[in-house]
Amino acid sequence: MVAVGEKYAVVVIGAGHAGCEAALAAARRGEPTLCLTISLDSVAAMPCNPAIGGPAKSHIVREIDALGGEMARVADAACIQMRLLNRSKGPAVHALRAQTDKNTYQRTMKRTLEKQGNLVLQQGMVDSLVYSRERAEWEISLEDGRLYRAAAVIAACGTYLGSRIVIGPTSFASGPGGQRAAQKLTGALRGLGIELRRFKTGTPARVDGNSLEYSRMTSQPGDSDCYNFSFGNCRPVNNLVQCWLTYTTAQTHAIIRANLHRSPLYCGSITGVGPRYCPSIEDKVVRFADKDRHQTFIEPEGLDTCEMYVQGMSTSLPVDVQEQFLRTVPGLEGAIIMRPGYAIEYDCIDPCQLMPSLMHKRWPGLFFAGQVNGTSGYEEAAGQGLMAGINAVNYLRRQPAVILRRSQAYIGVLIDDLVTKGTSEPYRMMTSRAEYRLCLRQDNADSRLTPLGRELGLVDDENYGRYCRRQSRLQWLRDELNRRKTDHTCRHLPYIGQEDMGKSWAEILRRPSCKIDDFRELCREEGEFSREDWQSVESEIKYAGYIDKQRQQIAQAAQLEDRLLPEDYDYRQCPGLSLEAREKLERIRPLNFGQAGRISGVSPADLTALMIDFKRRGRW
Amino acid sequence: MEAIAAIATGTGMAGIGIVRVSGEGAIAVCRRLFRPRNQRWQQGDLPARRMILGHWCEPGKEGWIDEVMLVIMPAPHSYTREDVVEIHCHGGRLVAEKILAGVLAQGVRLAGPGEFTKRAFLNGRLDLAQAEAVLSIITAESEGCLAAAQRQLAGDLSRQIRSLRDSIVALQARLAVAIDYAGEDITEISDQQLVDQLSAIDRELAGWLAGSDYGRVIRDGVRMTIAGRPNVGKSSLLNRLLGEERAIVSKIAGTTRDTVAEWRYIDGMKCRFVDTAGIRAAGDEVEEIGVRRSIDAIAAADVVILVMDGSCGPTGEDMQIGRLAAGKTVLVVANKADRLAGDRQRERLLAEVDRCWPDWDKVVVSALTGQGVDQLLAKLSQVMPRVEADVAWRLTISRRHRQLLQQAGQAVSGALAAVGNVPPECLAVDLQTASEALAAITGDRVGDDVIERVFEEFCVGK
Repeated sequence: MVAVGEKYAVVVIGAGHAGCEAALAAARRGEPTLCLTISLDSVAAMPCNPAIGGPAKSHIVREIDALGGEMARVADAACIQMRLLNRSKGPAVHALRAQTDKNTYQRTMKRTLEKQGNLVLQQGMVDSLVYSRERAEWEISLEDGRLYRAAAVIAACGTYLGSRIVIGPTSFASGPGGQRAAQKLTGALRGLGIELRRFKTGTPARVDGNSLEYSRMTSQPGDSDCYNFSFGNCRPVNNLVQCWLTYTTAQTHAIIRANLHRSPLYCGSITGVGPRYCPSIEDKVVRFADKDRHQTFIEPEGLDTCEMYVQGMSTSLPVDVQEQFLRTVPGLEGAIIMRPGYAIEYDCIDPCQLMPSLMHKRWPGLFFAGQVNGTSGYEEAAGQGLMAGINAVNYLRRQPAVILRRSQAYIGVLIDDLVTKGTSEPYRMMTSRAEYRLCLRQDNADSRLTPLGRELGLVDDENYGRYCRRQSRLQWLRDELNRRKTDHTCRHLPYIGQEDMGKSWAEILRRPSCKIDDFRELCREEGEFSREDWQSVESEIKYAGYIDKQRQQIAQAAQLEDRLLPEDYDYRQCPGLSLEAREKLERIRPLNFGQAGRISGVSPADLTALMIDFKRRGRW
Repeated sequence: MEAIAAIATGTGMAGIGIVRVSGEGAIAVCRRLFRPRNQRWQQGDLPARRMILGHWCEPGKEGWIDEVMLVIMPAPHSYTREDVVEIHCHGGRLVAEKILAGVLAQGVRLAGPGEFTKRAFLNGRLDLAQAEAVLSIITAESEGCLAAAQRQLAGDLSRQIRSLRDSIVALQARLAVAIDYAGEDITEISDQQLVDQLSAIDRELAGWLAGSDYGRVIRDGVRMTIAGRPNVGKSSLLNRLLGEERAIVSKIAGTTRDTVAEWRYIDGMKCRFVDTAGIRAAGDEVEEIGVRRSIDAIAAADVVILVMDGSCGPTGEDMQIGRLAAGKTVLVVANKADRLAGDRQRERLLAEVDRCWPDWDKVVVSALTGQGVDQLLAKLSQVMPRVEADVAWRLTISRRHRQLLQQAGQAVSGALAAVGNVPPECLAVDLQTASEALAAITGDRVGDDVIERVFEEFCVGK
């Protein structure tokens, strides 16, 4: 048979946050890549909140940047307000959060894809995927009859698979934000024997900013002393807008309760599983009945629109109810809804079917990334997209997969959780999912990952040069802080007494009350150093003791992570394994004992049985 | 798992012996060799969990080895969660060994030491702490030790440790929620609340560790040191207490050159009696070493039995030796009561002793005749360290548990000291250490260390 259709090395289905990173990574690594999107007007769309970052999510954004991905740069360009969250806590959990101009974000990302060499961006709806074993390649058919071939396919189809929007009694087939849904791809995936399930998420109404009474709300300005997401961006952050804080009232809750019978969540017309950590307002009112108010932030969707996002008020109640309850919130009394809130149900896959490279275990060259894997959030999607793009290329080149360790990156934690434990609700990244969060800081994402990004060909000379210069500045600062001793010039500092004279600055810095800015003042003549440089070194020195403890924990866990489980190991013959563990291990086929121990249903006793079998065979 | 078999009863002469078979095919193997008395069960399956009378045959031979009772316990309702068969035969090594040999001839493997328990652990029937308890029960040497091991087997230790760990995990969650939901309307845990809850956990851990000291007493026995001047009859007293001639007794002062130790039970408590060399300005080097050891033995004692010569009353040297035992639980024994002439002399002696050591219990005995020894035993039973019944089971039986509890305790104290000085994600590191150490006790966390321990304890691969 003669092969027809244009051939690419990699075809990416979808140009959302996962698809864009995947396509850029594959193309930047030199592989001819095609990125297909249902609509060119919705590249990198943000159908939910107009914000990037937050705890753990901003860590992912910094990691993407350190590896040579795009999200941080685009978020900086589209930023209209930046805040640093968790200031009262330690640097490891400081988190940037940017309000972004949605249009700017989309435009900037689309432009980046258009300018990228090796990358073709096209509009088109994928209907089917067929694998030809003899040619070891995929045939991708579009609804308009176009046909493409590729050795690797990355499915980054977000929440578009068989999706349905629900608002009160109304429901219709639709992707997020009124885009078309992908109706046939679900069937094609099912035809490949891929297991799918149905998840649900939702978004609040957008209201007309001109209809709000701002004097009745508390203003939330940005933080002027923030840094950017991208390590390479040292321009001051854009703080152009304010957000507004207000609260629901007893009346709001009464209206919602009185209309619960009209909520698709409660009358049974929605069956998909929603996220517990991001409940709709009707869920909050029901589940936290004792709370007399819930906070909500009013966030601008952009500079050239008056649409405002009502954060925390996601709902699928009928539009008349939405309007009624919104108008009981101080400041929103005259609110005009421009877009109603809605719930969206969609198909996604069980990520346990994937290898840690994000390739399907049974389908060579078929990768999955983003919300289609059951995650939520732009940042989680982008992180997976980047890794899928990297690994699709390694697959083509027959190189081993790049797998980030849990102790190396939040992205590593994310993917390990997905492919090991799976998820029963849309998965959101949280710092508490990372057992080594003191080592996985925003400020050291570059030292953790940029050398790897460089090795993979994703970090260009300019950015790598900048990285190296920063590393040597940090080293200089470390040395200096250890070398310099306190003397009369430090006398004015309240926490330095006579007995401290002659101690190193680093030693003083370990004290809780001591702030690095005081030493920065003393070091003024050295110039050159950014506030970020100082802060990076500060967090290292201040928490050295705890970081050491965490390193010990990492080393201890590594004993199990380093014990590999051979691919061909037959779990059925291992004595003492419970039936459930045997079934789960056969299905997930963990890479090592550490991963095996994280599978739910594999108990410590099972793990012990496995180890004993290895010991008995002399493979331990 | 493949079938294993072993003689489950001890090696001595006994009324019955039990051979235990566990694993795949255990029931079939036994079915082949067992002839039930009851006609109903001559063919087909035998009833489960019932004592069945019958004869045990030798494979391929006429006749039978012994009349036995057979119990079949099909999986998972058995000790190992596998098919288990127990053959109760007549005692004596020979019968049981012949039955075992017959079973082994059917392709069943001889079980290694502790292997049934290992299987119970591997099959999830026992957690690690419980499996360790089984070994402790088997080797228990005192009632307290046995009781503690039994409570541990019943899962009391695991339950308590898990609940302690739960409270640590709850704190971790409180810290995490404030970090992950920054900017949301969440009441953060205050420093004072943290201190209160950490202190409670710290106290509980300290309680466990203190208990483990009693654990040593129960495991190794109460250390009773018999001390005194030379030739006051310490060795005679030891022999009297043991009811045997353990120590060499002579009239020559300084006969006992080194400490002599032997044990007996008093009221179910294991007591380890240490006879010491008489303490005096030493005559030669050997004696000097002995004297030094005596002093060490006093320092290490749970109870010091201070022996003096009742026939001559307390001397300055006695007083000096008494000072060595300051702070200890001491029982003063006025020996050689047989030389006292009448009650008045006895009264006077007691008054003198009372004046010298008003805080200590005292008793007048004659090691020679045995007079007053019952009274001495009763007194010892009163003064020796006792563990309250309700805390007795808390004794941490193994050194492994103690180490892990110490680790958890250090981490919690570290967190407690750091509250207010370091951010919550640092406190979380200590809490993680504590919670993992506790999880290792119950086997809820498996690391190399735990596994090594299992390999060691259960003789894997032997």
